[in-house]
Amino acid sequence: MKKLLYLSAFLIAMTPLSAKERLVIISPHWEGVRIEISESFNEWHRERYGSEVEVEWIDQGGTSDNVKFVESLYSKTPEGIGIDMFFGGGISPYISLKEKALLEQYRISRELLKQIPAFCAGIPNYDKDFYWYGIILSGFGILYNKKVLEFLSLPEPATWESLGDKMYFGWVGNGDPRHSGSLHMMYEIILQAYGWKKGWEVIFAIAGNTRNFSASASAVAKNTSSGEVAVSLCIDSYALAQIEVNGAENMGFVLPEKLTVINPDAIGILKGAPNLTAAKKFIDYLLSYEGQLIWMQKKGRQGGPEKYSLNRFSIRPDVYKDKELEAGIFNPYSLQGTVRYDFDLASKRWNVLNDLVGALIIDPHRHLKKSWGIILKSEKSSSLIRKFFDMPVDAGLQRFLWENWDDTVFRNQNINQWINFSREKFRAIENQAKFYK
Amino acid sequence: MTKIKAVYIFCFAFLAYFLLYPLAHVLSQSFVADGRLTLSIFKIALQNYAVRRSVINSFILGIMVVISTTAIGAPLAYLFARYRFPGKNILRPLFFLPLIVSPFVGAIGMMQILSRFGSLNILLMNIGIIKYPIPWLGSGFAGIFILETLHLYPIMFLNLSSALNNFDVSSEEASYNLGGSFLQTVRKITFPLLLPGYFAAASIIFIWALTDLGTPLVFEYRDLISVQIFNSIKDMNTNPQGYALVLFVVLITFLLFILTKKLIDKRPYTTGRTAAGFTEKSLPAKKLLFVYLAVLSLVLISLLPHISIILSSVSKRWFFTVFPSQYTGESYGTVFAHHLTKTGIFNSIFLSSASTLIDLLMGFTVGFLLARTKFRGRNLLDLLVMLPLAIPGIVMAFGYFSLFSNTLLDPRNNPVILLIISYSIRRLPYIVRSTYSSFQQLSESVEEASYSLGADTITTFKRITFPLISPGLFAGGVLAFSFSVMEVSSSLILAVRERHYPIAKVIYILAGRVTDGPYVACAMGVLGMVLVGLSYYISSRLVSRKIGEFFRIG
Amino acid sequence: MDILKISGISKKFGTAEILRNVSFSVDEDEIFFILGPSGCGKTTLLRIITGFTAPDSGKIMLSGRDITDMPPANRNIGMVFQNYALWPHMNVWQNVSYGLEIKKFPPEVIRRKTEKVLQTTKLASFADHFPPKLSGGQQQRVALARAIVTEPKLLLLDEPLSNLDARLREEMREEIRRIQREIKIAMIYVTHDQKEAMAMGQKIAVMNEGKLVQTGTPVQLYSSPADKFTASFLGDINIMEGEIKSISGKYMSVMTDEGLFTIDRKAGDESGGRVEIGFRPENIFYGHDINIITGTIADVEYLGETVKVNIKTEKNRIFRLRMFSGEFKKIKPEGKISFSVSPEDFIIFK
Repeated sequence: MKKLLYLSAFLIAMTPLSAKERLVIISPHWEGVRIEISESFNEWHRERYGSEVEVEWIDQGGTSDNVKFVESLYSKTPEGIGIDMFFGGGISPYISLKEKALLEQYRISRELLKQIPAFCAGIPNYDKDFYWYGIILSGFGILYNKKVLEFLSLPEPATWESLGDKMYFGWVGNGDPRHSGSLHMMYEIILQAYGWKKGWEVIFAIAGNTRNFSASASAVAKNTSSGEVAVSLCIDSYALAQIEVNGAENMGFVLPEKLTVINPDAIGILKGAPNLTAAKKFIDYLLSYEGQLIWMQKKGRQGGPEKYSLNRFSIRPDVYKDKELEAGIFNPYSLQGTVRYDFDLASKRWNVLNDLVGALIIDPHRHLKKSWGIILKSEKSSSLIRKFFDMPVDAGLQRFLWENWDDTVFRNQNINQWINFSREKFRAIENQAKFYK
Repeated sequence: MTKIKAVYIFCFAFLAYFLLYPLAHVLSQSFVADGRLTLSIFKIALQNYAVRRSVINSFILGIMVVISTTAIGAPLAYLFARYRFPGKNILRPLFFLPLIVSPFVGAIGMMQILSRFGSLNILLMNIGIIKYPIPWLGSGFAGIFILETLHLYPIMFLNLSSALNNFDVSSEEASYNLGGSFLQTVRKITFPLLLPGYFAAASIIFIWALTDLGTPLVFEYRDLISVQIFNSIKDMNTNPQGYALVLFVVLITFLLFILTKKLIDKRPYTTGRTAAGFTEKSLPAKKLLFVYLAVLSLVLISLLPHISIILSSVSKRWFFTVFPSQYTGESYGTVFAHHLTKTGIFNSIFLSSASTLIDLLMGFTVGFLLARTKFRGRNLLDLLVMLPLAIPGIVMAFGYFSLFSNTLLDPRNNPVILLIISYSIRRLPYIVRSTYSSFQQLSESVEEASYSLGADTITTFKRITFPLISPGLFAGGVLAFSFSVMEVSSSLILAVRERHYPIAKVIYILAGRVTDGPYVACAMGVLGMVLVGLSYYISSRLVSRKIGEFFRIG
Repeated sequence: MDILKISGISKKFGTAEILRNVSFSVDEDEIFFILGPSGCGKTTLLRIITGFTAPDSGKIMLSGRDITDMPPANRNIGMVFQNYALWPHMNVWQNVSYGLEIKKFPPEVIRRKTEKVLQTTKLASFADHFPPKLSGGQQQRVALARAIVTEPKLLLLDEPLSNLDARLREEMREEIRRIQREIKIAMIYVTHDQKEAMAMGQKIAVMNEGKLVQTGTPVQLYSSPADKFTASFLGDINIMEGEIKSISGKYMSVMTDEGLFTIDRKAGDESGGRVEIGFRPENIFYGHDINIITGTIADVEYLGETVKVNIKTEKNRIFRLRMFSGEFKKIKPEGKISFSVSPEDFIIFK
């Protein structure tokens, strides 16, 4: 009995009762980011307020997982979920969270706001009603393993379309947008870059070449450097990290010219945040000069992180002129000719697109890949290819879908329909191929 | 007597609340929608092609692993039980080694070896055997299959060995004596006698493979029930799919559990054993060479995961070479310096100690109650305490998550208590069983002898009962501790916040991380391996009994 | 003087009556044997005396004190368990001195007493051995030493020799008797082995189905058993049914289907009553003119000194007889054999 008492005493001692201010953030950022930003924020906080904030990070997988998690929590306790902020994952989640009234408004100081351009390449850098702020800029492109390409005598890819070329069959790395926000962005960008019809053809072709779909964007990057795949869809930060580790002679990264976007990675305060002041200060910090420089500077250098280079691009143009930065650093604001990105459309169809990709590509991937293999070998491939690119949904139908997507029954019915559609489609291709023989 | 009653009630209440209630909750969630009894969620779940395929794949995986472990374990067990050859006693403990590395950690290392440009392919290409890399891991399914087979075949080996040793060879000889051929004897005598033991091992292995979460996650293979359940936790309030799958797993494991129990109860074959020397035939020299070759290559293959994680843990750069091109001990330094790994180690040690303490207290108490008291409800308690054997960690974690959301115990706020309880409940059957059997071996008169000399209950307990029970108890405790440290599924599911991550979740997170993550994960894996190995060694020293008993059922 | 007095002990487990109104008393310095088949309740009786089981009713007095509700630890009754119940984690010395330590004797006393008792039980050279390494007989001695070291008033022995082989058993019988004489202690010795009880016992209580059937010396029990159970439990007996035809003075005549037998009369026998009569196989004579039984030899079992012979009468009844080998030699194997039983050798059951 005594032992039990000691045990419970120990347990109680374990639960944090420290007087320290706390801040709870849900974010898919990898822990290099978490460590460096927590420390740097605390330094900033100490200087200004003389105290520290205990920053706690929650992670449920990727951005889409985090959105699901947060929404699922709010469905049970709508007044607040004990989490202060949602951080990372582009801007689309924030647009939909704002729409569902799950964000708190926070207006930063006028001087700070002045430092941030309203748009970057046509995409807003912060919410016009101040519900969310872009913190860093992300580029979406293609990571490739030079060693593998050399071994296979394959060229370095330059466009999304080229990833669908049959020479890359089985060597493309790809991920599941239902988990990862940055992978979701890839699909959205491809659709917007090529338009609905052509976009899906590119997506199908890439999927045909895809080896497997990882659950997280970092795993896709890792698989590329391990040689499991030769080329992959990748967000800039992970690509740069892999290049840093394995050397630029082994790894390469390309932003497809005129076919990609620069997208802010945002932060927002969640409704009913228990530590509202700390959350506001955190935004102030992130948008401050030192809170921006740390993302760009290499580890160990002046104003940079201590242990892990973060390899992200600042949202403040003034930071790019910092003398301590390496010369010739890439500046996304200077990127010419990006896709005209419709972020409103993107956020509205976020879930529909995820489920479409899931049902049409990922879940039936085994059959899709087989069909694609047949097509690549077949001489009379044109009719098969037409069949392969068949879509159950056209661009006009999207609106109807996303407007009704919260209805679980409707959603599941559609998903099941799409899956069956794909199954039929790929079965038909396999049968037709047999017939040609 | 009333004190004992109170203890009884406490044990019942504890198990009911943390074992039955979550199960009942999952059950009710899957059958009740809008306040009505319905099967609609099964319809929705089964209409989904991905779910259907996951169910089928998991089944196939389970059956394949059972077949492969049988194919390796059965001949091996027969060889070790019936033949004598030099080096046998050195080789035997080597088959424990696969058990000390959880396949999910092994998978992280094996990726380096089996991936397209992993060591194996590079080696084969360098010596010119192949021109083009072979995709060993396939879609990931093959990788899971290989890792689980390598991890689980010792369980088959141990169970069959003990079954073979537990029956008198003279029952085989009697058949030969009556003119039975080898095949007839195996079919009519050996096989039926081995069946309960085999079925028990096969069902453990099947359930294990069915519910393993860590390995498929590492191999990025999603079409399995366990992964689907894991993914469904994020939106369990809005999507009922997870409940249906969990229920499905519960039904299967229950069925197997009951079948096993029936089979074992129905045929209490203990024909007594003959002294080992009499049962063993010596092996002819020609066959000996073959046996050595087979056994040694098996050992080598089963040690590949160990070797690969050790190599990864000391590598600085391992890029397109057979072995790492640069070595470093830094990863080990990072393990003790990095905040994530540091808290992970601290958390795991704390959580496992606490759960082991509960296990020891509860296990001892329940073992005592079962062995030494004759209350009504004794059988019910027995059943309840053994139930966790039939409930996979993933089911328990799912149940906890669903049941305790938005309560004081909400794992999203603080999973410490739930983690401790789930760790301890998962290991409770082992401790109860080991204390129970210690109590049974300890005749009551041993305690009565002390009473009759004038000792009171406490003195008798301190000087007689406890010293005699404790080796078994502590052996179980040490194992429970190390199992808990490496517990995968509940750790992955219940630990939501970084500062609560136990080692397994830290390893998982690091393995998927860019830069040095996988190397540090492997360094942690090596430490875990040493810990588990050490605890096996310690507990086998503590009890004269073979450690293998902890991996046997029935 | 009675050291132990048991009166009216009854015990039920569920609906099974294990003990029915058992009463007896044990004198100082005597070995009191409780003899009965397994399952007759003798172990339960011992456990009630030690206090490990509580009786449903009845009273236990030890040296004049009522100890019925006293916890086992306070009773100061020594016990030697059937399986010895030695503590495998303690050596012989520790096993034996345990009881003294519990009673908080000063170390010097503990040492002296333990040494002495080890001497008495001839274990002195095994003091630092651990029980699992000892032979069966040595373990038995340790169990005995451990039980007597605290000098209890009463020592209970539960089938103490049943785990030993035949020769060792004889040796230990002597030992136990010697030790009992040496330290002058009252013992209750429970056994199912009637030979053991007969050989060692001064006073034996026969127990059957939870009841004490009869208490007496071995001779009393053997020659005048109170019932058929005691009679057959203590040895072989031939039994016939019959009717008392007539009574005359010291004798009476009993008619059975084997003929008329003249038997010593006992008080209470009435003419016309139905009785069963029996005689022991060895109580046969030749050449007498009464109580003659005639039959052919059905079966012979040669035991060396004696021979067991089964005789079959014309009525197909089998009589089991026992005779010395010398006598047996005189009998023609094929021929008929006649023998007679003395009137005083008949045992009468009602």
